[in-house]
Amino acid sequence: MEVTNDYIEFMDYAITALNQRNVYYGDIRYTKQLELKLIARDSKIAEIIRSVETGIGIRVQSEKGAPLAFVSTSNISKGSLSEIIEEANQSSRTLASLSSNDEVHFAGQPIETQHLVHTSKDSIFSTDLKDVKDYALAHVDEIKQEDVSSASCGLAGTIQYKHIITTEGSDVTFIVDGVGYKGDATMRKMGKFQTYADRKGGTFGIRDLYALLEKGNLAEEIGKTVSMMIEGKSINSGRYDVIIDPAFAGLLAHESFGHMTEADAITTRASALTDRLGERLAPDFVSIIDDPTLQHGAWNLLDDEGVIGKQNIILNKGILESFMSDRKNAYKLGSVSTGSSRASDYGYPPIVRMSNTSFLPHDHSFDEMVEDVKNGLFLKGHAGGESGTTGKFSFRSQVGYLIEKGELTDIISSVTLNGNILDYLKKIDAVGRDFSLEVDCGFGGCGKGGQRALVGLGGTYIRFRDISVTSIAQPRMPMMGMMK
Amino acid sequence: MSDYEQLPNITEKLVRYGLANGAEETEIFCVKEKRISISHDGEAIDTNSSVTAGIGVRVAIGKKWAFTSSSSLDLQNAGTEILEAIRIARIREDDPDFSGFPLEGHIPAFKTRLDDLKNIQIEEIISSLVDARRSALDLDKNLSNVQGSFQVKFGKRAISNSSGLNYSYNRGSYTTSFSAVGSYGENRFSENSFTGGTKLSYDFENLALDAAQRTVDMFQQSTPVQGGNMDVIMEPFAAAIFFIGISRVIFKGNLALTNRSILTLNDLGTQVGSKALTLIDDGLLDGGIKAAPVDDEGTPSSTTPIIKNGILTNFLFDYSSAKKASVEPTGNALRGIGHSARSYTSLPTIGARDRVIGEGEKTQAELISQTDNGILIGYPAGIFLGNPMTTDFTIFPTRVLRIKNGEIISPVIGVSMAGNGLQWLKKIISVGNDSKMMESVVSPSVVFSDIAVNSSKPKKTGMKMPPMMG
Repeated sequence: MEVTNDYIEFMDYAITALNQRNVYYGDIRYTKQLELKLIARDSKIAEIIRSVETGIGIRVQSEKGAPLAFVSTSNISKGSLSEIIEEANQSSRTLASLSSNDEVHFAGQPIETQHLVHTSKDSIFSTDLKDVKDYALAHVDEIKQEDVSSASCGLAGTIQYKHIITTEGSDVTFIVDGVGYKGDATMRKMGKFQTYADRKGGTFGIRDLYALLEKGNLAEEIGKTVSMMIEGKSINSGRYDVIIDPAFAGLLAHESFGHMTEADAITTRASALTDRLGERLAPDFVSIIDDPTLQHGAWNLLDDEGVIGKQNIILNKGILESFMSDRKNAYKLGSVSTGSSRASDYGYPPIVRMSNTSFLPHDHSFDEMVEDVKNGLFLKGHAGGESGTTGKFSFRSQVGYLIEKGELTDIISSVTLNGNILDYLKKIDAVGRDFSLEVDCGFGGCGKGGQRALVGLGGTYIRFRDISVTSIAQPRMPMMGMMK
Repeated sequence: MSDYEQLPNITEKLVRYGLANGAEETEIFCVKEKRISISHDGEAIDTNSSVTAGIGVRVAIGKKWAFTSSSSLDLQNAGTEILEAIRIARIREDDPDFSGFPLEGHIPAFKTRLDDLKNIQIEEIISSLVDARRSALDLDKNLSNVQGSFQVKFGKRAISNSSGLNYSYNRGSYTTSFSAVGSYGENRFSENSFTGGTKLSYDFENLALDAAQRTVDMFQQSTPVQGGNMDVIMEPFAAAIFFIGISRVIFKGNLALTNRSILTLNDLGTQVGSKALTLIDDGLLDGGIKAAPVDDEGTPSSTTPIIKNGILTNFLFDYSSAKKASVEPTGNALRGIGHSARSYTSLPTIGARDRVIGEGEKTQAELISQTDNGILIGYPAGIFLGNPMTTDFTIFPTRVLRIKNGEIISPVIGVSMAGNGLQWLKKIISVGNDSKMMESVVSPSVVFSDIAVNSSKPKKTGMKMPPMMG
């Protein structure tokens, strides 16, 4: 992606305008983002979509302790910037005069100057689109084995550039690219209906992505999996010993636990973990981290307040040790920012976000974990769910297997785990030693406050003893035509 | 002439530019919009204001087409994206389903009144949020937080295409929502309230009190419920979420056409719900969040009954799927669905407009009084987990009140239900007259009969444990 310096004069203009208005604090964020997505479905190209987004977002604190006001525009002109800066300054003053709430302050001092680049030599944008198209079509053909009724392969890429300057003197730039994949298969057979999808991706180039897909023979695997799932056996709802794979474990680590440890949920007391730092929540072989430095995950080293992130051990050997924070909430908590303040792009204010959140591996092999289960389930992959900062969650598995007398036996239809993560953590009795990460680039990501973020989910195999499992009946096609 | 008024000039010029540079067909969708949001998270009040403008370009060469978008209204930048779209279209194979762009149709007389939305008083909104939150928190000491948010957006959209369609229109709406959180014993509860549309209301206090009261209702000793079949009354917000959850896919005409949905065109005219159920998709709902004279391809909006007294009467269509099915499009081509909040960055796809569930005559209290054995439920968590193609789902409501002999007797926790959405539609025995709007669905309370309710053993509640404040 070509980033020209045309916008610099407008950044300079904006910072001068903020200083002339004597605002207490201001930051200006220019972002340029290029996205490309290609979807092949059933031997033809269904969509090719490209987008370019540029704009400037500005945060203003009119006077010391005043609330922050955020404004943004995609119209990069002096007239537009002047208008929105005035609006932000006025909003911050209005909020200060009307609000009886706590004052807003920032913890710590961000870096002064930094220019970070994490780009691949073979981003999707520098690859011949014809080759990408041919790859996707061939991949769909591979998924579409004998009984698969419909299949698709999506390939996506993104490049994001950002430049942040602040009235405190910070001047930082950041450029990162990433690629993503989503493959799915649908099957109808004897009145049954089943779908299965898998995703891969990360902040790397397209050749690495292809290698990842080929290493796992993913296309064939998707076709085979949906064929097995349609024969899946329904189980009774009840209590089972359950092993989850790294993808499902990542969902738990991120959605049900991670969001509870974001500092904005803590300072607003919405989280069930408010005031509980130092408390034991899990056995001492269970740790959960958030790590923006992972090269093959969602690399998010520099946040949108100019703070460099590092590995953050949130749950350390079972003890709640840290939260994820921006500068504003870190001040309220008497700590420092963990470099977790990010925005989707110029049009949104930075909020507390995760990067790569996962369970840390421990000592068990997968086989050892299975061997020690008499009557249980192995759940692989996830099909989404719901959770909140109270700890309650409901997540659905994609594929499941029965474990009988220490061996994987029948494939089962989709089940749901629901409960409270704080109860679940106490029921972990084994943690695997493998590690893998799943990054959803271009086909999802984490949603919060109307914004989306590139995040990595993963970790290792986790075994729970005696947890409640709700069975969802194997989807069948009712004979609607018979009801006339 | 303001920037907003220039949009039709931009779209018309760019269509000509596409045709002059190798496209055989061109469509330009252009939007400029201002959004303001104010939120009170309990600690601080934030204001966000954004002005977004951009274009979405579709070009076609024969049956090869491509889509590009740009956040710039500058003609030179937009021209670059048109050339890029033409380059991409040339790379791909023919799409046999591509059927061109809509012709100009008869636009219904419909005007979105944006004056109230454009002239909102920020100070009044902030004061109302602060006061409403304070009143709600005062309701019970076990409420740990009440959060409120207000969002307004208004602007203009313009569409031009090489079939001769040129149209521009105003679009705007507001939403206000509150979320209350509190603990009782070991259990935390949360409930939401919502309103929105184009008719601005500053009555935040009743909305905040509604979310808070429905949370506080659970702060009592809960009683175990024996699993079994009983009637289930969904409150209006809960019923709206239920209908959103189960209708994500099954009424889309393109999927019905291609057998990718549980309902097909053969099911038109059949009984898919009980006689008590009427569901209308309304692109012209007075004051509606998604109301506009045309959809995002320029097809005139319409009011489309999907289910009338239980009979499936229509599917939703965009231009190309309607052409394929040889029916009139229903004005349901929407942009900005899913992950993209910015309409111009996405292709038009079939989506619901505002949906209205037909009301009955009874109040919620009357519905409860007629229930011998049942539960009243709030937000049906889990409804989005199910399989949208078949409508199978499992739900885990947190606000559940036990009804015996026509009276609410106590809260219940640990309740779950599994079922099939289409089968549940046939189990509706009554609807209330107490409609509320939740995320573009307007629904009254809905009573489902003979539902299998599962209950796990509840945790201890009561005051044996001190309440967790936070």
